[in-house]
Amino acid sequence: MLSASKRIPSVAPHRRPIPLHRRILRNWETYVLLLPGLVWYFIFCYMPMGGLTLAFKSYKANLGILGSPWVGLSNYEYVFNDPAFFQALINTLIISAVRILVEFPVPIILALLLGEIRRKGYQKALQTIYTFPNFLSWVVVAGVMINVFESSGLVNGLIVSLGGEEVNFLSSSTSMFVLLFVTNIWKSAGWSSIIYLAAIAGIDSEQYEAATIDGASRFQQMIYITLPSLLPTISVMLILQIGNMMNAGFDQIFNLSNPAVEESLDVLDTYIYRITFQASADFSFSTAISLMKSLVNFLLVILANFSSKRLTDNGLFE
Amino acid sequence: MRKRILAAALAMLLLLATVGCTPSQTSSQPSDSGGESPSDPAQSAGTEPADSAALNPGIDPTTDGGLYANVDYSQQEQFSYTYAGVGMSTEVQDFSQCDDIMCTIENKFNFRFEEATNLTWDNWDETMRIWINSGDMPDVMFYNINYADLSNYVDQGLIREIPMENFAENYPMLNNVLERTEISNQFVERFGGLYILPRVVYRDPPTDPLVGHQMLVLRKDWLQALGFEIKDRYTPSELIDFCSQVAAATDLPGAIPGQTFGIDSTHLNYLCQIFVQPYNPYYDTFYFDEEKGQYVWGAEDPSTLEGLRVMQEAWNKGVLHKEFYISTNRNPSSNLASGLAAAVFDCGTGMCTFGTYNQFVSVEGNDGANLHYAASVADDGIAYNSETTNYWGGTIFSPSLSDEKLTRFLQMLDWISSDPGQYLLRLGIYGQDWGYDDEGNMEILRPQNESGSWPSIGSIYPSLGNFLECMTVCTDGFSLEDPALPVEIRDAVNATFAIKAEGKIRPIDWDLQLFSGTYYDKFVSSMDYGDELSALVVADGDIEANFNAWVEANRPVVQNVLDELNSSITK
Repeated sequence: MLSASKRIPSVAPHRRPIPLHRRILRNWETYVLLLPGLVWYFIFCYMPMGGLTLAFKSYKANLGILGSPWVGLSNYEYVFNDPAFFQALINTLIISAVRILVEFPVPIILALLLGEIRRKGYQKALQTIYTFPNFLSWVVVAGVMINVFESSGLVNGLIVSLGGEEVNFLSSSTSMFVLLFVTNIWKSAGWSSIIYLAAIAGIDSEQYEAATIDGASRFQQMIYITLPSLLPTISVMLILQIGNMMNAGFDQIFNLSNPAVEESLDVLDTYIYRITFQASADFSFSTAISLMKSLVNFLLVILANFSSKRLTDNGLFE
Repeated sequence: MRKRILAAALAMLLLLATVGCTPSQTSSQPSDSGGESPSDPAQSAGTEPADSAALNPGIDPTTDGGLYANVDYSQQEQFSYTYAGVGMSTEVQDFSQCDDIMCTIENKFNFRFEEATNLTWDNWDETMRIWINSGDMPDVMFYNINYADLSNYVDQGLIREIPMENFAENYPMLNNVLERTEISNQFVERFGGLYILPRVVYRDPPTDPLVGHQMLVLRKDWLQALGFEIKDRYTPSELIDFCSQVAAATDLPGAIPGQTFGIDSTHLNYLCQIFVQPYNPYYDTFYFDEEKGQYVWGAEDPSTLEGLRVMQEAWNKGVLHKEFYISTNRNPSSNLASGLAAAVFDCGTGMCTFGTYNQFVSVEGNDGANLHYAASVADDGIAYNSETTNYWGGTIFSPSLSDEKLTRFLQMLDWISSDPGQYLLRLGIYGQDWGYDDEGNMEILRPQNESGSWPSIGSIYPSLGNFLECMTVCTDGFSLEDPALPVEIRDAVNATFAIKAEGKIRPIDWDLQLFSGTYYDKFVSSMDYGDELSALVVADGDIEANFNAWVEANRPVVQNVLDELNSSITK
């Protein structure tokens, strides 16, 4: 009598993988549905990358991108001689770094707090209230904020009526800096917390039940169950945020800034806008700066992903 | 099987839809036929071209009177044009409701404006730049001249060349207008042809050379209440004295204690003209220093700091709005009318000043007699100004516009540059909007409004506003003599120009004006002196240290600009 191991192979026989082209042929209906998406990606995402050559050319509309003459690195020469560029670069990095330090944790905390509310109706109502400002345009928000903080505005009115002296908030770099972060938190924290709330909703409720039986308090559950479960999401969001560091928020800064604080609030995007659209048209120049921005952002993403994988084992990609 | 076919069909449909988004390759070339062979209008009518902006009581506006009196365009093909401009009355785009003036011109030359796109002031340059570069510009555009861009467009054939052969004979009145601005000759010389028709601001410039029209409008009743002399000119120190007293006063009629400030203006640069320009006429430009034999940067001169100190004093004493650097706080006419501002320094053409007057009297309790008009001068009583070129933007044409259509449009422009054309655009329809009294003097027939003044002609005919009224000659010059304007305003505007004419005028350096270089173009267009100097005025710390730091921060790029200028321009 054969032993069981002889009758039933312990290891499945090795099967050669089906080549890709055969798989495609076999499931061509499915793959053909991919085609429009791929074509779209190719046309609108990859083909325009050819236009990046403009960064090293002097663009002439009649010659087109391909026909325009090469100029090497001369588009970068002006930038590296312009102190306003370095000021904008420094401002961009500072503002983005403070955004990560100050603004990034707020939606996480908000989501944790909202997640602890047991009355669903109340939770939804609060969530709606916090999310609503996200749908307001920065033009509107900046207009309101300037009215609130100007010399004859609400805040100064309050200060004066309490016996204080009027404060010139709008010409002070410090107060405008604070306003930058406060307004952005007010406007976007609710919206950004949605992704964390979704992650919280996905946590296995049995963990909480077990913790309750073990006598864990609500706060301990939040610290030892909710927060660790959110870590992969936080990592991904942090990597994306770091990868976006060179974009410090054009809409907000452009609308909130004024000549008195321009030196402190001028970021790369406002610099590019000013020097490209307020000067004679120079598409090569703006491409050159944008390319540099993208490269730095790309490097930051790689660096952040690497660090995240080393520290938390979570990352955006392998 | 059916599912597979359906999937394939859907996929193809999506694919085609995606690929179908590529732009078409259609292009139309200018006709080689040489045009529509218009009859020679100059010969057919024989009327002399208008060569004076002065109102000519002798003209008979009931007849066409112009070069095109005998040309019957209705026998020729009707053309349509697409057009784009800025700040036009929005009603003008409703072509089903063409007003009497628009209809008169369209019918006379047998054409229609098929579409007129009104761009906003803040997207004007950018939109036109994109249209021109992409080859999608309308037939005719009102272009905000940027020499570097224009030069590029000419090089690349992106705008149409206007045939110069027999131009003076074919379009004598238009030619006459173009000769009023030096920029026309400069462009022709540099581009080797005519590509743009600059819009002339004054047919007869009120000063020679021409200077800006900014003017002071002050509260006369407040000047008198505070014991200030009513004069035709005020210095920065007098203005600071008056305005600071206004800001501190608690019992001035119409003022808002604690909120009323001194001088308001639309542009920060205008405020710099009051306080900085008297000390340094070159604060906002590069200039050729005869002693050094090279170009230098005017702003870095210590005299700029002197002006900045005065401007800062003005700010500290409440002469300027606490947050004057924010654009929403700068509403000169409105602030003057509401009692928030004691004076404005702003657009000083007759039309603008009348607008300020109208806004003032529209507020209950305000009396127009309480306004006083004056010039801003330096402490030595002299007006320091920069020469300005006599144009505002220009008309350019699409390279795909046919010769026939271009010719017809130029003929129309030629006619509206004539006296009959100008009378129609400036005064309206004869017998309806204006006429002559028994003594042969011009009189305005349109009904007066509640305040006793005549409504502007543009408010009656929407097609005029920044469209027809300013296609070749702008209204600024006419407003120096417009019979519909109050006499005191016309006189005040003329008197202010006279003060400027006798002052010191910084001449135009054409080499610099039409210079284009990598560093120069970017620096000049991104450096807003009004913004930068205002920021120094309100910055914390010592103004001298801040000014020196600002100069040093700009030095590397300024040095590159100077190197460009000094190596390219030889004097």
